Amino acid sequence: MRPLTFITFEKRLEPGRGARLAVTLASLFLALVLSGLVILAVGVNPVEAYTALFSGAFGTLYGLSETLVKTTPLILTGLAVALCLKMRLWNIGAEGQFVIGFLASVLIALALPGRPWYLLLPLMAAAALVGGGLWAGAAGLLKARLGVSEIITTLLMNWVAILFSQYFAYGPLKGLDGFPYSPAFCPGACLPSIGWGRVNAGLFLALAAAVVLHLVLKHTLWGFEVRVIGDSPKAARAAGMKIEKKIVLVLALAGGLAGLGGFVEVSGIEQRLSPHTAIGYGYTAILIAWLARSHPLLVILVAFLFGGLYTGGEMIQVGMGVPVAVIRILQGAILFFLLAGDFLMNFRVRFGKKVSSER
Amino acid sequence: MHCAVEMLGIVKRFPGVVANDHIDFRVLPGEVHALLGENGAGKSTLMQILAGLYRPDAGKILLSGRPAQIHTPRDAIQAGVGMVYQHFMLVRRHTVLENVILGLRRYGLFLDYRRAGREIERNSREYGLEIDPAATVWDLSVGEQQRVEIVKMLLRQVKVLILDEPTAVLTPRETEGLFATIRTLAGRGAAIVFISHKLREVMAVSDRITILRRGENAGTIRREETGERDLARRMVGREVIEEIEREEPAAGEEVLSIRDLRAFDNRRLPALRGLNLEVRRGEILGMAGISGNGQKELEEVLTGLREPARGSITLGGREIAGRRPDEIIAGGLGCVPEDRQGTGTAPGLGYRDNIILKSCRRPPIRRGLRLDYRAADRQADRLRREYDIKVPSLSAPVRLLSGGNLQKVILARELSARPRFLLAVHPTRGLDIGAATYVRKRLGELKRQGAAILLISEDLDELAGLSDRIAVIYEGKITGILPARDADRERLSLLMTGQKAENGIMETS
Ligand SMILES: Nc1ncnc2c1ncn2[C@@H]1O[C@H](COP(=O)(O)OP(=O)(O)OP(=O)(O)O)[C@@H](O)[C@H]1O
Ligand SMILES: [Mg+2]
Repeated sequence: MRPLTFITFEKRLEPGRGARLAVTLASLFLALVLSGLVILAVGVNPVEAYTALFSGAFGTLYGLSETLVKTTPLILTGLAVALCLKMRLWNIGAEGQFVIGFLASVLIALALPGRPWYLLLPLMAAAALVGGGLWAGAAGLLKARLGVSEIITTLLMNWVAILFSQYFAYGPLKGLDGFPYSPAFCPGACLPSIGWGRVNAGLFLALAAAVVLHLVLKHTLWGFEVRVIGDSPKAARAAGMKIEKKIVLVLALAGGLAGLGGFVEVSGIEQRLSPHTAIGYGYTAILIAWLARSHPLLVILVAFLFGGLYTGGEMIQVGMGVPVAVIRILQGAILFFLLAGDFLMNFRVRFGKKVSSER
Repeated sequence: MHCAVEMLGIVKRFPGVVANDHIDFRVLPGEVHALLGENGAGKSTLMQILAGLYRPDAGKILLSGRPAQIHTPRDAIQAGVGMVYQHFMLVRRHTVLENVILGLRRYGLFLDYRRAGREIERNSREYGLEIDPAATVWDLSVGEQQRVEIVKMLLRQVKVLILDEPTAVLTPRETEGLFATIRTLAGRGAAIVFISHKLREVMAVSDRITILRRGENAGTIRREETGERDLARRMVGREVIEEIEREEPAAGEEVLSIRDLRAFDNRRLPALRGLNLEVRRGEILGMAGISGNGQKELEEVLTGLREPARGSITLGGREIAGRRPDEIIAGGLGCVPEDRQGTGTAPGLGYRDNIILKSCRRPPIRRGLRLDYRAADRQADRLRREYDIKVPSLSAPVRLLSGGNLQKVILARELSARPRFLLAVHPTRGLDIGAATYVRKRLGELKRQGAAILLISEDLDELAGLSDRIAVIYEGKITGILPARDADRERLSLLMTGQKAENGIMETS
C-alpha cells in the first residue's frame, strides 16, 4: 500500500537540553522573516523597517518612554494569563477583564469628581481589581461547579465586557457635545507622571504586582498548591487540596490583575472613557505569558519587548507607511511558530520515510 | 545459530546517572530470558532502548545477527521487537479492538473491523488470552489490559517480546495464565524478555537469567545453575535474609470501623454492597480478593475521593464517610494508593515537592503563609537516605524515576507522616527484594507504634506474612475473616471466588 503521508510524527521522550530556548529564538526569527515578506510586499525594505522599528522603540528616550507606557498594562494582563497557565487554565479573557477594570475606574472617578488623589486612586484601583476579579471569577465558578470550559466563557465574556463599556460611552457617560467620550478626569483621579514622557506611577504598580506574584507563587503554600494542581489535579485532590475553590480564586485573582491593567491605562494615560478601550492588550497577553513560560518575572521582560513592538509599529507606520497590521501579523506568526516549535520539541519528525507497512 | 537479540556495549546516560554502563545482553530465539536487578538498576532503560524509546549513547544492536537501526518504536515493531511497558499505553476511551489495530495498516484505509476482530479472537484463543474485542479499555482490570497489550504485539507478529514487570499487577491465577502464554510463544521460537522482582516467578518461567547491578551486567546464568537465594545475593551483592517475624498484635481498640458501606462504581453499578469491617490499633488487617471486587472503590471512599451511597465509616471515633480528603487526612489517614502515577504523585513535580505533598499544610513545612522549602529539602534528603531512593536531584521530576523508586517516594511520604490509620494498596508492588523487606519492616514498626493498617494485596504470600487477620472481599462484601495462621491458599481462594468454606471461618455481619 502506498503511504498516505510523507511526514510522520513520533512522540519523543527526552526533549533536548536547551531546546526550549533554541525553539523560542528560532520561532521569533521565523516570525520576523515571515512578516518581513509582508513588509516587502508593501514595498518597503524589511531590514530598514525592522531597524526603524527597533530604534523607534528602544533607540530614543522618547521611544523608550512610549514603550514603557505600553509595557505597563501588558505586564498586568500578561500576569493575568500567566497565573492561570500555571494551573493549566486558559484565560483568554484578559481583554474583557481589562475593559471591566477600565470601566470600573471610570465610574468611580466620575462619581466622585474633585476628590483628592489619596481617596480616588485607591478606590479606583480597588474597583478595577474587584470588577475584573468578579468578571473572571464568574468564569471560574462555572468551571468549578459545572465544568464549563474556561476557554469559552472567558473568551465570550470579552464581547460582553466590550459592549458593556461601549454602552456607557455612547449612553450614560456620553459627552455633552454628543460624542461618545466621557468627560475627562479631575487631577485627583490621574496617576502621577514620573516626569518622563507619559510614563506614570502605574509602571511601578505593575512591576510590584509581578514581583509579589512571583514571591507568592514561589514561597507560599498557596503557590505550591497552584503548582501541584497544575501538574496533577488528581494527586492534588488526593492530597487534600481544594481544587474547585482554587480555580475560582485563581481566575478571580487573574481577573483582578487584568482589571488593574485597565486602571493604570485609564488613570495614567486615557483619563476618560472612549469606545476604544479594548485594543488587544488582553490578547497580546496570551502571547506574553506563553513566551515567558508563565514566569512572572519573565513576563516583565517579554511585556517590555512587546511594548516596544507596539511603539515601533506605530513609528514605522507614521514614518515609512508600513501598515500597523504588520505588527499583528508578526504577533500571530510568533505564536504560530512557537506552538509549532513546542510540538516539534516533543515529537520527532521524519520526512519522506515510508510509513510502516506490516509484513 | 544467531542470537535473536544481541545488544553490545550499550551505554545510556541521564542527567546525574549512568542507567546503562556498557551492557552486553544476548537473547536466544525460543528462550525466556529474565532480567533481574534492584530498583533503578537500568532494566527498563535497557529494554526501552531495544524497543526504540531511547537512543543509546553508545553500543550497537544486532537482531538475528544483522545490525539493526532502531530509532523509534515503529522501527522496533518493524524489526519484530515489541514491548509491554511497566505503565500501559492504551487509549482508555477506545475499545480493545480499536486499541489493537491502532497503527496497524494492513486492515486497509477503511478499517476492516470484522476481519481484525476475528484475528484478535483467533490469536487470543490460541495463546489463552481471554479478551473481549468490543470492551472499552477503561472498564478492564489491569490484568485484562495487559492481555490486550500482548495481543496487540501478537498481531504485529513480533519475534522478540519484552514484558516489563508484567506480573506486578496480576493475580496468582492471571500470572499462571501469562506463564502459559509465554511458554507457548517461546515454544514457537519467539524470544521473551521477562522483567520481575519476584524470584519465584523467575525460577518458574525462565531459561536464562541476566542480572543488572547499578547499570552493569553482573552476569548471565542458566536457571538450572541457580536458586532464589543465589539470585538475591548476586543482585544485591551480598547475602539477603528475609527476617520478618510477625509480632502478635496488642489487640487495641477499634480505629477504623466500617458499617454497611455501599457505593457505586464509575458505571453507576453497585461496587460496595454493604461492607462491614473494623481495623484495630496495633494490627495489620490484610484484605485478599481478586481485583475488581470493590477494592478500588473502597480505597476511594476511604480517602474521600468517592461519595458513598450509604453506610458509615468512623476513624478514631469520628465519622468520615462523605468527608473531604483534607478532613480525613487531618483525622489521621495515610494512604499508599493503587494508582501511583496519577493519585499518588504529581509526576511533573520534583521529588522534594512530592514528599511534602501532604505535609505542606502543617508546620514545620508550613510557617504561616510561607512554605519552608529548606526544611522540606532537609526532610526530603533524610527520607531519600532512609529509604534509599535513587533520585538524580531533589527537583528532578519524579516521572523520570524508575518504577520502584517512584513507589518508594509514596511510601516514604505516607509512612513518615505516622498515620493513625494506614491504607496500603500493594505497598511492595514493583519493589526489589531489599526494598520490599525494608518496607515490610517499616509496616511492622508502624503497627508496633499503634497504627491500624489495612493492607490490600493480591499477593497471598505477602498477606500471609504480614497480616494478623485476613479478610476476603468478594463482590463488594467481606465474605470471611480469618486469623492469618489459619489462612491457607485453599481457603482464601475459595472465599475469593465467592464460595463459602465450610468450617473455621468467622462470618462477619
Ligand atoms: N528519562 C529519564 N531521565 C532521567 N533519568 C532517568 C530516565 N529514565 C530512567 N532514569 C534513571 O535511570 C535509572 C534506571 O532506571 P530504570 O527505569 O531503567 O530502572 P529499573 O531497573 O527499571 O528499576 P525498577 O525496578 O524500579 O523499575 C534510574 O536511576 C532512573 O531514575
Ligand atoms: Mg523499571
